[in-house]
Amino acid sequence: MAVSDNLERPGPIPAAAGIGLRGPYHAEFISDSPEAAWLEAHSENFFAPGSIALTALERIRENYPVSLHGVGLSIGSADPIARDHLENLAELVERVQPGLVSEHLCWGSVGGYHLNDLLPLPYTEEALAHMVERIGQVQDRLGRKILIENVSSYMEFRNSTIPEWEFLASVAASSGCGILLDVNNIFVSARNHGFDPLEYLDAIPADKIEEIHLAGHSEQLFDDHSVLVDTHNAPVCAEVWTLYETLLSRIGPRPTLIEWDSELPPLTVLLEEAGKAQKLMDRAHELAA
Amino acid sequence: MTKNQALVSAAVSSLMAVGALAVSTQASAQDMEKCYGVVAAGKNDCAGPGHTCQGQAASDASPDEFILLPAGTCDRLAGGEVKDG
Amino acid sequence: MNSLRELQARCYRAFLQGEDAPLREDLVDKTIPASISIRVYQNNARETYRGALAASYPVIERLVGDACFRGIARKYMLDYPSSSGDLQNFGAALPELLAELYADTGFAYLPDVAALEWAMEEVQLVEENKPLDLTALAEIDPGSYPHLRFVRSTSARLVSSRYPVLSIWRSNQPDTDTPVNLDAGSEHVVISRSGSDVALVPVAAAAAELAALIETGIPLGLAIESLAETTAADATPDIARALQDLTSARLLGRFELSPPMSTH
Repeated sequence: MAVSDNLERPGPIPAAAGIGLRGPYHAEFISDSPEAAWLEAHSENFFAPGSIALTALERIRENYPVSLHGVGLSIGSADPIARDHLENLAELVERVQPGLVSEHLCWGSVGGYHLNDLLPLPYTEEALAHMVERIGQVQDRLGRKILIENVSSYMEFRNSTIPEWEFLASVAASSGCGILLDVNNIFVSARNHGFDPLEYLDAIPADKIEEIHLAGHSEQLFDDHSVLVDTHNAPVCAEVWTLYETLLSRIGPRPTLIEWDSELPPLTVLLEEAGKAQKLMDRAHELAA
Repeated sequence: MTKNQALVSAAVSSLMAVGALAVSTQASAQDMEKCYGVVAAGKNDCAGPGHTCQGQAASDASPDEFILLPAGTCDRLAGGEVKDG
Repeated sequence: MNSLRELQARCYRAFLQGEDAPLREDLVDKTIPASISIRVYQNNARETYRGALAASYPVIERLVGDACFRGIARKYMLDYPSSSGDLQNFGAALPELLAELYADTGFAYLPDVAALEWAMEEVQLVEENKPLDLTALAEIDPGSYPHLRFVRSTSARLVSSRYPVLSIWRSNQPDTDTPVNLDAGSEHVVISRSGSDVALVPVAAAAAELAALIETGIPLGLAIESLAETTAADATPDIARALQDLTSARLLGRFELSPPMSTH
């Protein structure tokens, strides 16, 4: 593997709006190079060396800053970290030289069986120490800092003793990881669990926030109960844009990703959404200046 | 040279004789043409709460029922009686 | 750690196996009742695995229809639970499950169609093999031909079916709706990676038979002897044509020249 030819690749992730790189867009990014500040790919889709997907990603990487976003490492599981998964990730990071690498504040496996879901942790001292230790393992292996993202949740554990926002801030402070703050996830969880999303936003130290995610969700009825579900199949909603603006006014521009994973629209729709985020960032920049 | 040796020899020689180009031309003359499949990349986009795919089953009338009787385009396949051997 | 592990185990049993009661005690029953929380995650699990299977098996999904595919996906999730945080290889055993469900029914072709779709999945995940090196082959002493052992390309698979498996696949692509006669007989397909696509090439029965013999690792001489035995005495098997088919379909990746294999 030639690492030396990475020298010509676009550099770090800019404090600008990027979009999620999904399979159906690969060909368009390769042939037309549409204008996008940066792209984010799901790490696991590119684990297989020589695969069609990885070949495409490497070509796209020649023209775009890329960040890698993992969905399956299951850092918060009581299980040992899956060695092969971490090795695959390390190999991919080495190959792609991404601007940022991120994982989730979650768990997903037990006893070697996976739920392939991003499940919330109980927010306890035990889980906190565990997360910190495990993020350390991952950062040590990758030889770089990772970002940890808050997830949407539909349950809360009785034995939680720490609010999620304090838990996340403590994880970052103790492990040295950065934070990928998903504003939509905060909105979804706030509605589902009845907390104030502004309290969450305010509790996260500005210097730890290295990336922001925006996405669409949907409201679903289970019996008579309305639950917001993080479906990533729709435009960002007005309330989330407002929260994003509030966040920007406090911390200034950050790399911001528009995530859309299901019922994918034409690429232009995504680029328009990214354009909205970019405008808000530009305005925040002017106000700060 | 036995009959089989002759077969082996003729078969391998024919590969070189026709050459790769001729071989592929011949193949395209087969009954059915080569075709290409679109490959769905990115199964991991399905992972995670609502990362994709989710949603519809919330309205499943009977989520605990396993419906295992095929009822899609297979209805349009003709024949297919279980055959002997 | 024990308490975290036990809590996670209760979540697994509730979300995947439907044992709700123990986990309900662990959950806050506030804005979302505990029973609803559990249903959301149960639903997530079902949809995640259905979606992952549908990504690999669009033709099966179309053949059996939405409701049946959901049922199959449910059963798959329980019978072949995921053991990786990477879903890319999830679904490898679907042909096996379909065989179990439909082997003795009028839908017995489903496992073969699934095998074809899974072969497409497999070859896109590996590097493309170069075509067989005919120049190097030309340098082999013809006297050694019987000792040639062809090796299947790492980016190609053969699927052999007693059903018209490729015709079924083709007639179930988006925008296609041509009728297929299941009694049309066997079809054999070589599936190989071809750049950023996957190519499907039909081959004749004799080629498929030769490929199956080559797959066992025996040298060409023995393979051809075996083929000749199964061919009627008055007919000569068209070995040349079979070998050409396999080469042009790019099933053969390389060859080795080795002394006759010892049998052990």
